[in-house]
Amino acid sequence: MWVLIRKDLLRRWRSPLSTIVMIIFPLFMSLAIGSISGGSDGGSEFPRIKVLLQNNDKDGFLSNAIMGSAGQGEGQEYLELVEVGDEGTELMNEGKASAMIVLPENFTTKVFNREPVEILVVRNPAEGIKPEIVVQGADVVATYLDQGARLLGEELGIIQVMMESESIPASAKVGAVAAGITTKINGVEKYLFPPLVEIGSVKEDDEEEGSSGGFSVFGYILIMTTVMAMMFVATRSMGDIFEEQNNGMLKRQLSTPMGIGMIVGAKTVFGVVFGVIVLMILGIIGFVLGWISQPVDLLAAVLLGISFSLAACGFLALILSLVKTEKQAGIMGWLVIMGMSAIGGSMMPIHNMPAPLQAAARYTINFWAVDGYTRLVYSGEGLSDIMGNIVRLLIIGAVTITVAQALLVRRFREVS
Amino acid sequence: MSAVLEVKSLRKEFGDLTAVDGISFDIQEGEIFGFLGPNGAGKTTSISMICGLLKPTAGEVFVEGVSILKNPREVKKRLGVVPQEVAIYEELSARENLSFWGGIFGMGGSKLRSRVDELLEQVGLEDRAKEPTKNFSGGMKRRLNLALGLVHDPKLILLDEPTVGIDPQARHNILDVVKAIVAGGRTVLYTTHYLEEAEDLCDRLAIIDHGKILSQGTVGELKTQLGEGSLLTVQGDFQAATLSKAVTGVDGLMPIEIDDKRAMLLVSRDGPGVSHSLEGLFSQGLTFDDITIKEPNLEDLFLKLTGRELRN
Repeated sequence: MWVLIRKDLLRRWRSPLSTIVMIIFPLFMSLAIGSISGGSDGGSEFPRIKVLLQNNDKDGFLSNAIMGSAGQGEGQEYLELVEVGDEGTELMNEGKASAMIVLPENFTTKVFNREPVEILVVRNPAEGIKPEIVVQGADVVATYLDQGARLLGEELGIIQVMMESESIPASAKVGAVAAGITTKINGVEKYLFPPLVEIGSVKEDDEEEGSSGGFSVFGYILIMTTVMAMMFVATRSMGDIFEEQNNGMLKRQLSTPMGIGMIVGAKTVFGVVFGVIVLMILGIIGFVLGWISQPVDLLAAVLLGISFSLAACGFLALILSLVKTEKQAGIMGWLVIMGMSAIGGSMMPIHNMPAPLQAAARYTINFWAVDGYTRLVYSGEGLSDIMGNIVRLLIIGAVTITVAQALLVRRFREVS
Repeated sequence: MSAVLEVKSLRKEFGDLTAVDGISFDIQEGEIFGFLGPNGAGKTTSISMICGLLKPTAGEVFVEGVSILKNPREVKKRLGVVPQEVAIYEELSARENLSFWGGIFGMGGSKLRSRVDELLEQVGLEDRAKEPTKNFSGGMKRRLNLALGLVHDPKLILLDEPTVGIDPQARHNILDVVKAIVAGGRTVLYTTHYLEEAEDLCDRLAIIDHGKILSQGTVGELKTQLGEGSLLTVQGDFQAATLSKAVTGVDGLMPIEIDDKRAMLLVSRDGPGVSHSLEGLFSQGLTFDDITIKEPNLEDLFLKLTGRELRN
């Protein structure tokens, strides 16, 4: 069997293009998607968003309040706010920020008078998620302002008069307005201030439990896409049987004392070995680029890679054993990889999927690999923690390979 | 001499199609046995059954007395198969290809290296041994294809049309290698549809068509089946029935193949001769546009046996 495996390794080495493509694909996808998503800030759980603020309502109470309060407190951790003038548009054109919020002239007056007013958000088209967060944030602010103006219309009118008056308002009058506002807000508090958005931070807890932290969007996507690339490696390895059938090599090998079972077995072992090699190369590149910046249980990573490659080879061998031509095998293999990758977390994070898809994901082999690697890399877990994933994949691999082997032996018993 | 290969009543059916129809023959040690027949005659199917790739519908194959059906692994160790298509790994060099096939048969170390060197020299590829074979010409690939079947020094070599689609020089080289193999004591089953190759190379021949062996023997024995004499080919504006009737009236003239406007006739060596035969036909009112006289060959025999030309 080693002779067969060595021959296929040598063939890949001599003709490395497809291997290079399989390695570049996850790196390219990680770079592309990671850049759009904001990449990594080297340790913070979520990257900061740079937002330009153009205030055209210079003397307005509300606009100045928004300008002053934005980016304070927890927001400071996520937002980098830069006040700009007319140069804001030019900066956006140069892609210097994720978004620009423009407060129009007479913004405060119009809000107090309950007139229609528009906050303009200019998005950076080169980025995907960050500008969307700014738009959503601005939408929440607009909702609060709208509801506040409707609720506190009378009090806002009094405040506006007070602020425009040159004399200092009487304490009693201020107190009465404040009491009125408090009463109204207390009455609607549970409706007006529900926990619309809750940003949970698990960073400190994780650190207490020994988390390796250092989340990187690039690293996360690298894990997702590497798992998909390993499926392509498995397809390439198992599909080689069809290629050898077409170019006469299979027939020639079967005229020797070797049986088809040995040939299929060698292709499977080669697929596993080759898959783990690709995994290790991508892992090393991930470390070198700083996308994976913390120690990982290497034994667990390799065992997970072996079990996943075995499952992928088995699954794809089973498909190949059910189709009749190389073309059908190519189409079916591609569909299965894409389907499993889409559902199983190789194209988007599982937790971003609707609940039914999250449930379905557990029936894909990608899920167990992506889940295992993210736990190894970002939760500091080890071999014992992901043993369940490894065992599941090994069982899937053993069952599918056994069935596929039986079908392929029957198929290729007579190859002429 | 003992029989290296014995084929007994071998038959293969694919549904309603009978690809091989009960063929029997044997090959003695050190012999080149030719399988001569057109494309689709059943040559490759026969080879596939002999080397265990196809299971016969009926019949048996023995290599050195061992049954391929009962002990395929043991038989396959003794066989060297050179398929019709060029089956090599084009990413690998000639040396790597040869080493791989040697490894499959359990060879290794210095024994394999020296065998690979020997074969590279034999097929004239020693200068290009380290180059990826995708850069090779068609003839070079064919030569390597042949060498791959010889690396484990098999007793019986099955060559399935090894010279298809190559230039005369490369063909000559391959035929030289085959002769050298046999001179070294090996036995060869050689399928071809090239008449000249069969005549030049083979000790004995079987003519096969539609899955049946129509005739077998040495080249000399086969030619005698046409009869001793000269072959007369005539073309002209005549009907087959008219000419057939006329031929029966001429002493020493026998029909081989007669169609409208074209006929092949044998002028017996023991008869009055070609001039007499032609005069006999002319005297019956027949005229011809073209007349050819030659010695009969295997192509003519094939035409007589099958009613069609070998290259059709």
